[in-house]
Amino acid sequence: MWVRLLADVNESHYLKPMIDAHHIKGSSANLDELKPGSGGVVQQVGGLSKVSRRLMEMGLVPGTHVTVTRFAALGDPVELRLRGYALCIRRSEASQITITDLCHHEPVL
Amino acid sequence: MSVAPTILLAGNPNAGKTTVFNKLTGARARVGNYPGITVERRSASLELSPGCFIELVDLPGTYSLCARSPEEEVAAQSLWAFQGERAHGVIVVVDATSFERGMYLVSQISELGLPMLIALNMVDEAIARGVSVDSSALSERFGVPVVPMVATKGEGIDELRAGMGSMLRTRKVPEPPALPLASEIRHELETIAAHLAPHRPHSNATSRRAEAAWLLQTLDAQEPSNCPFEDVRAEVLRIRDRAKSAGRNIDEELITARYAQIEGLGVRQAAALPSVRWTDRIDSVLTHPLFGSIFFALVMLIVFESIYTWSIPFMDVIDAAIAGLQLRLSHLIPEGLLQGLILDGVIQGVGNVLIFVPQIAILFALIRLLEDSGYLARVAFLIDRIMRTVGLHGLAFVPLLSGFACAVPAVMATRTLERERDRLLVMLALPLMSCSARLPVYLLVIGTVFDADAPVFGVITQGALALFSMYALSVLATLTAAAVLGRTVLKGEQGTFVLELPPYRMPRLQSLIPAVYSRVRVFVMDAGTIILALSILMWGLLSFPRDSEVSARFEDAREEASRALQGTELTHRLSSLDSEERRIQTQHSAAGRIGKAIEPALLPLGFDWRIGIGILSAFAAREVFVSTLGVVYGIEGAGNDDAAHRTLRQRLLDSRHPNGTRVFTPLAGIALMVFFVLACQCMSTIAVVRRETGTWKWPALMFSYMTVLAYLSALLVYQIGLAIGWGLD
Repeated sequence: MWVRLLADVNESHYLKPMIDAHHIKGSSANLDELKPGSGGVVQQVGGLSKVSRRLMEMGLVPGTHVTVTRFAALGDPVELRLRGYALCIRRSEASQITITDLCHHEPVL
Repeated sequence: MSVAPTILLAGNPNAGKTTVFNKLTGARARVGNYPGITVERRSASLELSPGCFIELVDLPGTYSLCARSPEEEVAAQSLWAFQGERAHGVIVVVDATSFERGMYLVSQISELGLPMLIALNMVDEAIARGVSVDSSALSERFGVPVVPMVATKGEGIDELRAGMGSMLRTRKVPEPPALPLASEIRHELETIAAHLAPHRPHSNATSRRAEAAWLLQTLDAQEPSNCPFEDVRAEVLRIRDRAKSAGRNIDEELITARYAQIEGLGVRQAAALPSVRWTDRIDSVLTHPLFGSIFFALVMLIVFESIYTWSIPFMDVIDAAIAGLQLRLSHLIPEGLLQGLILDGVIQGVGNVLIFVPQIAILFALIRLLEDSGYLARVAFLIDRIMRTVGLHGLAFVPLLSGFACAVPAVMATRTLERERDRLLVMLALPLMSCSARLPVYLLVIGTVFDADAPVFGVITQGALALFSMYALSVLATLTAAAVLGRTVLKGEQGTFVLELPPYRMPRLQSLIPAVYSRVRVFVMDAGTIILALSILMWGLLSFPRDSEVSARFEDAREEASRALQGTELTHRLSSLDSEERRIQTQHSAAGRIGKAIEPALLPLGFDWRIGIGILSAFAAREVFVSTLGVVYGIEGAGNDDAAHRTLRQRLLDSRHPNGTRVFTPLAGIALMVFFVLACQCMSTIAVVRRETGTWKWPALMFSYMTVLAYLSALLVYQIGLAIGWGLD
């Protein structure tokens, strides 16, 4: 039981080392690993085809610039900004999206 | 029979489709700011020029023709029109601020061979954000008219009307630029299109290719309904399998090509990084983990406090009007059965329901404001993580919150959820949300057993606290039910969460007032028909049959009193005899017998036979409970001069068990409210769930589990209360 709980904690958003976009420009990461204010260019949208199809249809196609705006309380879901609008997806879906050419913007406010 | 040409209105959710529809038709339809608020297909007749009528159909918002929800399916099927008549044209509304995403749908629709018009909406907002779209270049590239507009201000509406007229005259279909596809996928589309050709004799090459692409993306190997042609199905499945084993992603190839087509138009110009918008600034507070949650809790508290407090002056006015009407009519109509029927059956029955109109109007207005401002979408974002722990989608929050108002539209609002299992889960759990029809019951009970205006902790009134507790219980029960149902009857995988957050917008009074009015009208119409009919029925059940022996006995007693007593003493004696006779006659009536028969099952819950009659009648509709009690007690006390002016609450408070103890103790009141929170006492909800699920299985399950839950919970509350001696008087 305790082992299980600790494992859950380790996987949680708070303890996971987050990638600071400043230091790894040109490298790639999964979308859920980005800090709020960071962004990059979509490389691939994986996961279940029904989900990935809709994400791509909403403009999250390879080559699109996307920024992470914020995570909700408890670190999930995540709010993204792309093509002039705001989109929320769950962390599990974000983890299926690979991002390259990471960069950092000034966070909102 | 109308032969007017049909024009469809399509577009992304939140693109302003419904506003365009309203501006064109003058109809005041629902304008929501929540993705997918337009659930039903709505249409209106529109006179384009003198004598030239068209039928305008407002389709549910959709991002793509590859539908993911029943709503999007409605939109996609209307546009494809595989069966039935094709529309004469389509207007696609594109939000200029999210131009590319809107153009994705335009690109798909432009291949269907339908005359088309692009309504480029919200150009002012786009310009403010440094985005400009060259509409004449866009028009040239797609071969369709483009109307730039600001629908909320009515700008571009006249041009849109003119465009519709010329669209119908020229019947020109769009000529979109070619999709930049790789040769392999292009060849595959041609192969499928060739197979489709004999089945679609009236289509052109572009629309056959479009259907081929659509089939490649959406064909369900197990479900033959979306493509009935065996050879086409086989070809599509073969190509898909081959692509899969070659490691290709057909979705990505097709979708990327479409976005490349849109970007290749070169009609959108974005200035350097736009400055931070006010809507983002608001969001950084309202979706903040801490401040956002505090704000949400505050909003909900304000909602409950306002229902309880702001409505009181309005209720007093209605109350006085009903009492005045009764007094007037009591002089006009001779005493007897007819007077009883009209005053105690008809007027009191409807009046007891009408009095709750102010609260219902306030609640609907507040929900509507949250919806139109865009805040409701933020709530879904904030709450998704918590909803998921009980197996619900963040979007399920909207039907659930609507459940506070009425389960019937809320059940219909579950169509925004794309998965059947998610929809069923929400549908079965949401009737536990405390709907507005329960409000009259709570208010009656709270007003009777509590000192509603007494402050608790100095900030909130006792009444508001009790009311809030009932709503909290209903939320807890709903979430628990969803969690249990999702792990038992509706076991299955959890869905996904893909939600657009629309920019905050100022809610507009023009759309708020008619929406609230229509809700209130529905409630009042219910009061006017179902509740009136049931009030009269209950009055009949309570009045008949009469026991003639009892009548004779009381007649003798009255005569004896007249001989022995005089003056006020006589009046008192007579009125108490009247009251006693009515009480005994009511026990002899049909309703009294039923109530008595079930009383043994209700006594452990703290309810007597009169409350039993109310509960029985409330299975038709909850709000009937109040009018039934009105009739039960109205008849009982109607012979008393001063009692005629007493309120129902006072009568309830005075009612006693045969052993002389009070019926309406605070404990019994709470048990009664708990019963009403949990019981499925609404024929309309059962009917709408039957309609949405297509089977009696789910409404039957819903009715059974809720009734058992309600009985056991009320039993538990009352027995625990008795054991610890709380709330007994």
